[in-house]
Amino acid sequence: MTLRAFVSAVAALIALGAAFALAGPPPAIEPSGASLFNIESKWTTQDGATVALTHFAGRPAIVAMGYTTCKDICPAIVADMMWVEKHMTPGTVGKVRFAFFSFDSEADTPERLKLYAESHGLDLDRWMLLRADDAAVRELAAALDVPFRPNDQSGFDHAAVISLLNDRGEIVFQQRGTRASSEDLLAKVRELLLRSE
Amino acid sequence: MRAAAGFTLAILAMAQPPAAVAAGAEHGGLVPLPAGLYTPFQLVKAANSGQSAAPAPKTVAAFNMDGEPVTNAGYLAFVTAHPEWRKSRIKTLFADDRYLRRWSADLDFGAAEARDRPVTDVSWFAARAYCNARGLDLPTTAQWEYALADGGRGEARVRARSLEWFSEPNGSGPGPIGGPANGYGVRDLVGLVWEWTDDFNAYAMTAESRDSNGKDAAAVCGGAAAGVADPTDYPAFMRYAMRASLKAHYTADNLGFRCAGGAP
Amino acid sequence: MSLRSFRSGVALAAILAAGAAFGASREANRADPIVGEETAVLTDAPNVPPPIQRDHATKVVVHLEVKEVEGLLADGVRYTFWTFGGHVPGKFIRIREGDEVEFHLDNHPGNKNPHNIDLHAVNGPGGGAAASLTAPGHSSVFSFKALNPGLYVYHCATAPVAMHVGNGMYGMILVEPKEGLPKVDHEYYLMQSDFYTQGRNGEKGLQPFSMEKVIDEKPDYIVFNGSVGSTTGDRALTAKVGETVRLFVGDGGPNVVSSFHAIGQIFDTVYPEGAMGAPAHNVQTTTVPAGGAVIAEFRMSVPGTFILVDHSLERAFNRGALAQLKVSGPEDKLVYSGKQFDLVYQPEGAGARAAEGERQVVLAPAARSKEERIKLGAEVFANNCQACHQQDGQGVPDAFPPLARSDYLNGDKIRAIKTVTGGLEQPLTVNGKAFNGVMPAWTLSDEDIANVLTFVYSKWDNSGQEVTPDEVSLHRVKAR
Repeated sequence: MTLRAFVSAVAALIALGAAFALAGPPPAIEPSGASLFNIESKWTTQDGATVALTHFAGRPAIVAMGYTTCKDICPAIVADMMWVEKHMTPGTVGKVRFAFFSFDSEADTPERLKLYAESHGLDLDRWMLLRADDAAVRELAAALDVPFRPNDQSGFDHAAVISLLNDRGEIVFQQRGTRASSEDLLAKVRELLLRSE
Repeated sequence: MRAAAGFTLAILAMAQPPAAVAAGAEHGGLVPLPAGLYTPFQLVKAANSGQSAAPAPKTVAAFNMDGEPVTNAGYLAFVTAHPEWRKSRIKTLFADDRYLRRWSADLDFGAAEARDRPVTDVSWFAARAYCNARGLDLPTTAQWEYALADGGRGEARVRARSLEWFSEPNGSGPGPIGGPANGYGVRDLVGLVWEWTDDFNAYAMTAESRDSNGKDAAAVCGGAAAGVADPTDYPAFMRYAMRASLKAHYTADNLGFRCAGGAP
Repeated sequence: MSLRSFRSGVALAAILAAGAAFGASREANRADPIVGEETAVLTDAPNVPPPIQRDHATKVVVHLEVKEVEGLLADGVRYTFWTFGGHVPGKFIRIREGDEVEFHLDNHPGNKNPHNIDLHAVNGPGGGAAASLTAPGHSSVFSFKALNPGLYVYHCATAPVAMHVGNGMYGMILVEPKEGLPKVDHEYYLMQSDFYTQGRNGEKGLQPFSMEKVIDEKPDYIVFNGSVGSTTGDRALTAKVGETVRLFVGDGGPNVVSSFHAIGQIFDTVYPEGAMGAPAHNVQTTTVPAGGAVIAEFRMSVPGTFILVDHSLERAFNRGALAQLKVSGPEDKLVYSGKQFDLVYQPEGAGARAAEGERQVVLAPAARSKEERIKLGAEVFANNCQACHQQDGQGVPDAFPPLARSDYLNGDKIRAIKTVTGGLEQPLTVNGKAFNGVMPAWTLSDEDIANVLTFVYSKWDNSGQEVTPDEVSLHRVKAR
C-alpha cells in the first residue's frame, strides 16, 4: 500500500467513525475511570424520554446545572453557553451537545423544561434539558463539583459551573463563574474538536 | 421500595463472608433521634440583601443515625459484597488515589486494632454507596449538626473535646471508638475523625464568590465572622471549613463517616 | 576622611540611591518581562535566603508544605503547632520586584485540617486565600506578580483565623526592590507571636490551644521564632564588632502588637512596617503591627550580649518575648565606658500578680531529694531567670546582678527567698558592684522557688545549701 492509499484509507475510516458517532447509538466501550458515564442515574428529558449519561457519548458536550425558576445566576449560565454556541462556525456547532441539568426535582417537570427551552430560544437539536430525583442530582453535582443547597426562597443557592466533556464523558475543562464572553471555554471547545478530527 | 430491595441484597451478600465480617455488624447500630429545632451555624443572606439573616431555628424531622462511625470491619463487609468499591477497582471519578491507603489489600484493613476503629480514607461517593447498600443515606449536615448539638446538652464538652483533638499529634490512625454517648445515645461525633455529610459542599460556594454572587462570602472565606450564629465557636468554624475544602472524590486520613436515614 | 566617616558616607549614598528607586510603579512591575524560571530557596528562622543577584524578573516556583507537628513551646511544654514548612515561624521566601510567583500550597496527608494562605505581598482577593483552601492530602496552585516591593507577612486565613494563626501559621516573604537592599554582613529572620494554652505559662505537658484565652486576648506565651528561648544561649544570633546586621522582624499575632527594641543598640535605619519608602534613622523602639513587619539595620560598635525584646516588658520577662544577639570583638571605651547603660523599663511585679487574679497552684512534681530539686530547679531557672541573669549566672554588668559566687545570695538564704517572692525595687550591691535594676515578684509555687534557689546555690561556686518549700512558705513575701 502506498502512503497515499494508506492515508485515504485512514481518512475513510475516520469519516466512517464520525458518521457513526453522529447518527448511530453511542459506542459500547467501557468508560475510563474518570468518565462521568460511570454514573448510573437515569434522567428525564424535556420530551419525557428517559436517558442515562451515556447518551452524551460520542460528541463533546457543554453541561451545566441550574433550575428554571432561578432569577439571578442561571440565566447568566445559559447565556454563557449560548455565547459559545453563537461563536462556533456553522460547520462545527452541530458536533457539540449542550445540556442543562436541573437541581429542582419537584418543580422542573418535562413540560417546564420544554417551556424554558422555548422561551430562551434553545435549539433542541443541540440542547437537552434534564431532571431526576434528588439523589441523582446530588450525585451529579458532586461529580461536576457544583456546590449547591436549597434556600429559603424555594430555590437553590449554587455555584456557576460550566463543564466541557469530551466524547468519552471526561471533564476536560470547567468555567467557574460567569463571564461577559466565555473565550476560554470556546477555545477549549475548538481545541477538542480539532483533536477529534 | 428500591432502597428496601438494595438492603435485602446487601444482607444476603453480607451473610456470605465468615466471622470477621459478622463482628463488624455489632457496631454502627442505628439510634433514633426525635424531631426538634436546630439553629444553623452559618447565616445565609437573603438574595439581594446586604444584611445577614437572624439565626432562625429550623425543624429537623425525626430520623435514625448510626450511634458510632462506620468501622473498618463494617466497611470490609461492604467491599466484600460490592467488589466495585474495592481499592483495586474503584473508579477515579469516585475516589482519589489515596482511597483506603492504610488497607494492605482489597479485603484486608491491615493492623488488627483497626477492626473496630473508624474507617478513613473513604470518599463521599464510597461512603454514600456503603449507606445506600444498607438502605440508608449519609446524614445531611443539618442532621449531623443536630445530633452534635444534642439539644444544647453537650456544648462545652463538644468544644473541649474538639480542641483537644486538634492538639493531639497526628498518629498512624484514628483512636478507638468508645467516647461517651450523648443524650441521644450517639457517640464519637467529634474527637476521632471528621465525618462526611450528604450535602458537605452546601456551604462551599464561597470559593466561587469572586465570579458569582456567592451569598455567604463572609462566613468562611477570609475569616470574617459576620455571617455565623456564634463567632466564638471555633470548632464549628473548623467543621464547616473542612467540609468546604473537600470534593466528593477526596479521601483523607482523618475523614470517616456514619449513615442515617428513615423515620424511627 | 576617616575610614569610619567614609563608610557611613557610602552607606548613606547607597540608601539614598536605593530610596530614589523604591518608587517603581506597579504598572512597570506588571509589565516587567519574565526571563527564565527558578525554584525558591526557603529557609527556617533565623536564617534568610541569600540576596537576589538577578537584574531581571523571573518565574519563581514556591513549594510550601503545611505540616501539623508536635514541638516544644517552652521547656517541658509541648504543643501541636500548625506550620508552613515544619517550624514556626514559616519558611522565609525571598523574591524580586516584578517576579511572577507560581505558588504551590501542599497540605500534608497526615494533617487533620484544611488550610490556605494569604500573602500580604499579593494584590488579589484574599491575598491568595480565595484560591488556596486545601484539604489534607491535596495541593493548591496559584500565581501572582510581585507588584510592590517590601517585607510582607503571610498567614493561614482559614476560619477560625485566630486559631490557625494562634497555632503558628505565619511567616514572611521579602519582595526585594529591583536595586536590591544595601549590602550588610548579616541578615536574620525574627518573628514574634502569641500563644494561648489551656494551662498557664510554664505548666508542663501537651497543652491544647485555649479558645477562651485567644478570644479574650490573654496570651500565656509571647515569643520570638516559635518558642521560649528559640534565639538565646547557644542559639543566639551572632555578629562581630564593626559588622552590619539587618533584622527582618515580623509579628504573626494573632493579637499582640510588638514594641520591638534592642537593649543597648540603636537601630541606624528602620523601614517602618517593612515599607520600601524613605527609611527612618536613629530609632530606639519600633512598632511591629500584628500581621506586619519591620526591617531594622544597625552596625555593631561594641561587644556584648544585646537582648532583643518586646519592650512591653511583661511580655519579655514573663512570657518569653526575648532573643539575644551576641557580639564579639574589641571593646571601644569611647563608645561605651561601662557606666552609661540605662535600663528604661518599669515592670510591675506586684501588678502582674494582681492581674493574674488568684494564684493557681501548679501541680509540679515534688522533689524527693536535693538532687531532684536541683534538676527541677534548672528548668525553672531556664524559663524564668536565665534571660537576665544569663546561662552562666554572670548577669549583665550594670544591669542584672550576677548570681555566680554572689555574696548577696550566699550571705542570707531568707533574703534570697524574699527577693524572689517579693521582687526588688531599690539599689543593691552585689560583689562590690552597685545595681539599680528592678526585679519582678515571681508568681511561682513554693516548690518551684525552693527548687530554683537550691539550683542556684548548687552552681557557680555558690554555697551549695538547700532551700525547702516549707522555708519558702514561711518567708514568702505575701502579695499586696
